[in-house]
Order: sequence, then structure tokens, then C-alpha cells
Amino acid sequence: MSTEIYAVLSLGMRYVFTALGALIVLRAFLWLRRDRREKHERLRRLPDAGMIGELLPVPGAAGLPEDVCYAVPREGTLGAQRTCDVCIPAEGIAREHLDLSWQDGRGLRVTPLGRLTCLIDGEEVTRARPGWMAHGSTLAVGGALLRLRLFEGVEAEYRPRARAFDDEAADASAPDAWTPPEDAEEVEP
Amino acid sequence: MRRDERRARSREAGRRLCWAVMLFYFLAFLLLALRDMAWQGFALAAAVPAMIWLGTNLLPRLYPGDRLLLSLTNFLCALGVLVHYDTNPAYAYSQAVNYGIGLGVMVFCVWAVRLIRDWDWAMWPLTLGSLALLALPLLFGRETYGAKNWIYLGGVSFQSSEFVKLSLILSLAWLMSRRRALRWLAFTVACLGLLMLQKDLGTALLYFGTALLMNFAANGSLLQLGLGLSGGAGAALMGYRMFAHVKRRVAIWRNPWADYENAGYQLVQGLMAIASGGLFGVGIGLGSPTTIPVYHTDFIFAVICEQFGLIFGLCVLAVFVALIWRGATIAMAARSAFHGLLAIGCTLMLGLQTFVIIGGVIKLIPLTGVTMPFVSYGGSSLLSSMCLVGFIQGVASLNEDDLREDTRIAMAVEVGEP
Repeated sequence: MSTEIYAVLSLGMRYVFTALGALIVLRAFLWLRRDRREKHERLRRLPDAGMIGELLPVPGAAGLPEDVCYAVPREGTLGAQRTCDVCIPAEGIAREHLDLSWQDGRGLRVTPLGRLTCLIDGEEVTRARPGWMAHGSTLAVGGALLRLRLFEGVEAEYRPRARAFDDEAADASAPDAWTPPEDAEEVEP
Repeated sequence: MRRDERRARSREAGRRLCWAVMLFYFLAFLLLALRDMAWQGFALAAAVPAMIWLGTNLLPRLYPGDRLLLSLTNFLCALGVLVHYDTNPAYAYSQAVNYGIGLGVMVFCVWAVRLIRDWDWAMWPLTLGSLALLALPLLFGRETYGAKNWIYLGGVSFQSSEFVKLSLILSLAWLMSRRRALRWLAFTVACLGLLMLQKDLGTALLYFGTALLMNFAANGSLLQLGLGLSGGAGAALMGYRMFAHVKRRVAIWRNPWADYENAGYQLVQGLMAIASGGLFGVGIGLGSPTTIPVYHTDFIFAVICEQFGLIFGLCVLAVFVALIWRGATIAMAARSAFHGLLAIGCTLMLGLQTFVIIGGVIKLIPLTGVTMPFVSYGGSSLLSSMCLVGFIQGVASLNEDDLREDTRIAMAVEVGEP
């Protein structure tokens, strides 16, 4: 092809290439926007997405309002500062107090940070000896006493070592006992 | 919206984007082939769109990754092949081969992230191996453009720092997620020290910026970020005082016209190329991009602006922005700290590298000699960029698995399964 004809063709095609480039960018950003909307819709439909359960304050125990529950992610930190995944601003809880990590088939692994400690079902847990929580386990951290409730779909995969709810009914005479709701399912050991 | 509807809409959006990209490259390579009347041009006009189609439609069947990220990556890699074919066909063939290898390497990285959950066993080999790789150029390397960062082995040359950046991000993500501050700090400082000895300050800047921002993403500490920035500023000042070529680069950045025939020649030629392209470019195959020294690596963005115009240059920048935005979204959706940090680390590295090179070319910041991800000529650079995208894709595919699990759990609750 002669140089002159090529030059005319190339000069004409530059507008086409610019338009195609702009089209590619527009389609990419429309795709980003659409995915963002779908994400919001998904969060609305599955508000507990990524969470394995929640920590509920034990009724009668001091420190935390009883009508608040704290969603527990598969992996995260528990502490008093807002950047923690489970933020519990109670007295005695450090800014970053515990590491939480869910393991399928085992339970929720709790590892205190640094020299901090906590109690799981009355037993002390340290960084060197992490503890495990099951459905119904109690966690005493700082001045707060909490109980773990796993979501139903998560429980299906888990084979806990925890007590059954019938055992908890026997402890109902204790002032800080947590009474499960009437339709709660029995957890098989 | 149901999952199958979501998938159908995603596939439709992917198809539209893919067709636009394929049409662009078909027309561009056809035009260049008509200029030379060379069969290689016609072959590329068929092969490159086919590679894009395969890369965008076939690869997602191998893993449930992110199709938008894949489309954008394919666009940028093919742009590199196109621009190099325009200026030097030999570079284009090499780049096309590296692009093909890069797609395979990317899939490997995706599966590495999906399959390996515990990286503890790899930390010592990765960190010590990386330090050894960084030390190699000091012992056996050759000095190129003021930095001793290339290794030549049996006719093959590569930049070890391009591959060490992968192990740096992997190690930092794992060690930060496990709160082993001393180890990741020590590793980062050792890498930076070796890079300073090589005088590869551009790569040192990337490593430092990535480590600092990954730490901020890990713990949100503004104090540590401030301390890190102050330390970085101090190190930059020290570098300016210690290294003559740093002083030269800052002087050229401040006024390249003062010595436009010697030290400032490259930057001046780059700026003139961008200006001469105007809004729509001089036309592909026209102009004189080869007058810019090292046009195929450092100044590839100036070549793009000259040939295709400033508007298209901004479109390329917007594609990088979309890629970084997507990477950040994938990182935020990750369910574990390690995967989130891995994705954000890869995104930050790509983003910083793009900012540093484009900023240097347009005289926003002093030139540093890093390459433009995916587009610049060079196997090491292209393969390491594809690996970074592979890691991000791996995290995206795990996010898809988690989403599927969430939907299954939600449906189990609705149906009342125990």
C-alpha cells in the first residue's frame, strides 16, 4: 500500500480507535457499577453473609446491654476499638483482645493477643494455649460475659464437643443461666 | 437476584466488552499489516483477537474467577503487543510469546492460592530465596542505566527484583495476617537494603510503598503510616545526597529543557511525543516514536499517546484505574486476613507501579526506571504482572466459593434443614 493512502487511512482510523477505547472504558465502568449494585442487593438478602454466628450477652451479667448481639465472622479480631471485626466496648477489654478463627469440623478458635487472657466455659485461655468455642460456649472477656450462638446452616457442618441444651436447662437455677428459646434445636455432641 | 441470573448478566457484560476489545485489535493489526503488507501482521490480526477471546472465555472455565479483571488484563497485554509491533516487530513477537506464557502462569498462581491454605512452611524458603535472588545481581549482574539489577545467564536476561516482588507480597500478607511484625519488617528492610546497593531505587520505592500500605490495611494505624512516611522521606533525602544519578534525575525533572540535548533528551522527547499526538494521535504507524530513547520500556506510555492521542492515553489510564478498583473490591470481599492482604498487596503494587511510571513520563514526578505493567516490553515484567493478577484472581475465586457457601447456608435455613 502506498504511503499516502496508508496515511489517509491511518488518520481516519484514529477516531475509530479513540471511540473504541472510550467504549471499552465505558463498558468496564458500567460493569463495575452493576457489580456494586448486586453486592448491595446481596448484602440485603444475606445480611449474615460471612458470619458464623453471634455472641450474646448472658442475661443478668453486668457490663453489656442485653438487647445487643455481636456478629462473629469466620476470621477476625475481638476488641474495644472500632476497627475490630467484633467491637465490644466494655470495661476490661483491650483495644485488640482476641483473635477468632472458625475451622470447619472443629469450632471457633480463640487466641488472646499478647499477655491477655479470657475464660471459655470457665477455663483460662492464653496465647500459648488457645481455646475452642462451640455452640452455647461462654466467653468471659474483660468485664463481659457472652455466649456463642452458631447459625443453623453453620451448625450443620460442625460436630461440637459442647454440652447439649438439656444440660443447660439443669443449670437454670444459677442466677446468670442462659435459657435457650423454646424452639432451639438440640446440639449433638 | 438469583445466582444464575447474575451469572447470565455477567456473561453478557463480558461478551460485550470482549467484542469491543477484539474489534479494536483486529482493526489495528489489520491496518499495520496493510502498511507493511507482511503476512505476520495479518496473522497477528487473527491471532491476537483469538487469544483475547480464549483468554476471556476459556480461562474462566478453569476457575470461578473475576471476568472483568481478566478482560482488562487481556486488553493491556494485547496493547503491549500492538504498540511494539508498530515500532519494532521483533519485540512484538517476543511480547506475544510472553503473553501466552503469562496466561498459563496466571492460571498456576490462581490454583496455588486456591489449593494452599497454610503458607507457614514456605516462609523461610521464600524469604531467604528472595534475599539470595536480590543479592545475585550484586555478584553477577551488569549495570544498566545506573542500576545493577539485571542477571544474564546463558543468553537469557532477567530482573530478579520482578520475581522477588511476588514473594515479598506473599510473605508480607502471611506474616502480617499472623502478626509476626518483626519478621516481615526484617525481610522488608533487608530487601530495601539490597535494592539500595543495586541502586535500583525505583523498585525500592515500590517495595517500600507496598509494604507500608499493606501494613496500614492490616492494622489501620495512622501513627505507623505517619512514621513510615517520615522514614521514607528521610530515606529519599539520604538517597538524594548519596547518589549522583538521583540528583541528576531530580534536576531533569525540575527543568529538562536546561540540558535537552543530553541528560534531559529522553524526557523532552517523551513530552514532545505526547504533545505531537494531540487529542486523537498522529495515527498508528505514523509519527516517530523510536526517537525516544528506551521507548519500548520506560516511555511506552508516551508512544501510546503519540500514536493514539491523549484521549486514548486517558482511556488506558482509566483501564488501570478500573483494574485497581476491582482488585481493591476483591480484597475487601476476602474472608480471611491473609487473602485480603494478598489481594490488596498485589493491587497496590500494580497501582503504585503504574502511577510511578506514568507520573515520570508526564513529568509529574522524577523518572524512576520502572516498567508499565503488562504493556512495557520485557518478559520478567510481563510475567510478574500476570502472576500478581493471578493471585488477585485466586482470591476472587475463593470469594466466589464463599458466596456460593453463603447462599447454600441461607437456603438451608429457609428450607429448615438441621
